[in-house]
Amino acid sequence: MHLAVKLSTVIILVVATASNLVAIAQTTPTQPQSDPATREKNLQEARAKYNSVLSTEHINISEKIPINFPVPSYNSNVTSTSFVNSIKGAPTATAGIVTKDSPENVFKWYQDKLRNGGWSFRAAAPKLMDKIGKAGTLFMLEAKKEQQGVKVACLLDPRTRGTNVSVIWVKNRLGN
Amino acid sequence: MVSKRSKRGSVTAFSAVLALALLVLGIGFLFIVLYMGAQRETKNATDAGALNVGKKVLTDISVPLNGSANQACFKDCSSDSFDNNASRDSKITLERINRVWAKAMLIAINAEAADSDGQGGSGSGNASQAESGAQEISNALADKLTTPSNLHGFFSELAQVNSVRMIGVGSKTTVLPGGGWQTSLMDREAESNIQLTGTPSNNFYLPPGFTLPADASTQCTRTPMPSAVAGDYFLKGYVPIKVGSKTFWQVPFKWDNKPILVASSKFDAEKASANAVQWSKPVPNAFSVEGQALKAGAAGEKASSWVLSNPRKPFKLAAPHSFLHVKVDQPKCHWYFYPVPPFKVEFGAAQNYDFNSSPTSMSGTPMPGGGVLCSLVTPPSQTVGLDIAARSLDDVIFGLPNLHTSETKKIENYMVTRANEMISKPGVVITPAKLHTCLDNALTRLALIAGQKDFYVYSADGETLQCDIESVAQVKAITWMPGIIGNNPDGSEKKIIDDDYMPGGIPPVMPHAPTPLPFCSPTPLVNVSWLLWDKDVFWKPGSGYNGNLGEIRVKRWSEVHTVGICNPL
Repeated sequence: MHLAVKLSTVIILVVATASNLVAIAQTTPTQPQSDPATREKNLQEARAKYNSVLSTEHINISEKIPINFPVPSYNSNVTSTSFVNSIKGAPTATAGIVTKDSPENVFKWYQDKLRNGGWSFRAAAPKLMDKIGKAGTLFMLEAKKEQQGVKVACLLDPRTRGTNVSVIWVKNRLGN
Repeated sequence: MVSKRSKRGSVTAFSAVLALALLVLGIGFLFIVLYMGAQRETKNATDAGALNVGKKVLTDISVPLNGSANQACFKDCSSDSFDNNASRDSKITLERINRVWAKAMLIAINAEAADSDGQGGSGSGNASQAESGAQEISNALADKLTTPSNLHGFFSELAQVNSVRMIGVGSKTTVLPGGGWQTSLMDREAESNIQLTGTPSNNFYLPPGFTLPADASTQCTRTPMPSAVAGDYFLKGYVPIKVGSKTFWQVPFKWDNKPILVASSKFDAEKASANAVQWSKPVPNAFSVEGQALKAGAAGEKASSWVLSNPRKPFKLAAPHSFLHVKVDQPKCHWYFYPVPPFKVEFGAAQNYDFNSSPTSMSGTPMPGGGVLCSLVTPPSQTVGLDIAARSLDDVIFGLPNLHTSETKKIENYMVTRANEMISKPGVVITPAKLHTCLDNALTRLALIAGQKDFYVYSADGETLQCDIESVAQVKAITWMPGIIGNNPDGSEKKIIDDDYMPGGIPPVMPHAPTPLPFCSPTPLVNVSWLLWDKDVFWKPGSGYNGNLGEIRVKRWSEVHTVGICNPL
């Protein structure tokens, strides 16, 4: 099994090298910048390759969180957002938000919003976070409403002192 | 002419004759009264002796387990308590024999279900061993119960203390050996003292892949049916219960009936000699006795009585000393690249992460040529392990990703049905919610953080479900767990949940900048990296022959996928 995987990896690498060489050969050293039409064509081909990856992996990636995402999005001092959803099987999506605000404030905001939105939730106890050495840096909760499930994690970014937020949503929740 | 004297003489003579006649009649009447009283006293004493036989045969005639593996597996049935921690004496009585047959049947059911899933392993062979063990024990018990001399003492114990004064001073009712001591198989097709979990609509919480034959179970047959068991089902007595090619038996004991005296006609009609059952050596539940009251050196009264026994002690269909093993594999992070989209390759060694350090920032090995027209693709650092951070065992098994709904339900079903097999107390049902509550306890979170990877689901008291690490389970069930906890399931492992996955990074998508080949530049908006949570769950069934009812193995890992695409300038 491992041998087969390694063999396929080698084959892919050989093909990759070959295709890269062909691509380089097509670009003439004397003319480093293609004409606009060729450049556009090259970009389209590159994006097609990217889309083929996403399609094969059954995911969709976006920079923006859709407005119909079932959980409100934190919107204060946000520096970037990202969104991934599965395009196969049960609906699931993960929204990511990077903010300059502290994890405590962001987490409290989500607790309030979920409570007001009729979600029932339970937050991980600070003692438990302390056990894994994440007290004050990681805040997590699990919420449910009807058949939907949500997990919110607010993680301190030690570099910026801001917060990385992950909101995972599942439509057909399992379990108790 | 008759003189006055002569008249007076005839009256005297008449009176004397009359007095004599009355005396004779009186004495005769006295004898009849004494005779009838003696007969009644003898009958009462015999009935008392019979009832004592009906009571004592349940507990005082026993078969010791012989120590061989196929009998030792029934040691957990050698108790009259549903408490799994109660002491065991390695003796099987009439009260316990249905527990033995029921456990043997459960082992066969588990093996049959595993076979139907293609995971039988050595379960079927073990089930045959258990069946033969149960048969040996049952046969030995039947031999003892059908040997009248084994019952005589119980009869005498109570019959002799009953007064038979009318026979004579010092008279006692004693055993009258012979043909009056018989056994019968009464209440056929009535319920045994083994209660099933649930109802036919939920397959009695038996393992998926096995359906109990409809004629193997019955509701309480008492009329009117007691409301306490109105919705309950029991195994049926004196009916062959087929599981695959194996046959199992139960002795009927109507729910909560006391040992009672029965009519000889009914007793005789149900004797094996009058109305045979398919069971080659059935264990009887009814006994006839015969006693006699003797005056020293002279014949006295004889009486017979017929008793239907009943322990009035129901149990659940269970393998009391059993457990489920839950094993959590070491989580790993794998790094994937797309040199030739859409095909991915793993590059660099997988890295371990764990419950006590997650989530943690991880970096993969940069891959030369790891993207289109890229000389080097360096995956951005990712926060790995949010899927397992501070999670309970329930989260680890059933938590996200859980998009493979039917397979996840299958795992839940395996676990719920096995959990119910550990419960001995009638009326207790382990629902899916109860299982999740058990696996979700805070101690499992702490144990995972502490680095524990092996958990055991069991019932120490036969009533509630526990999930603990090995050392705790051994202490809580100290009388039996240490001897079996190291046993492996006898089935073979199969992956039930195969690569359940979902995006789970924090943040979920991270941009990066690949190093392009000469005369190329990174394509805008497509050079991203994302993280997936992945999960496999394996099931290895155990028949319960050695106490192990199965093993759940959970494999969790993360995959960081990095797309690097450049395009010619």
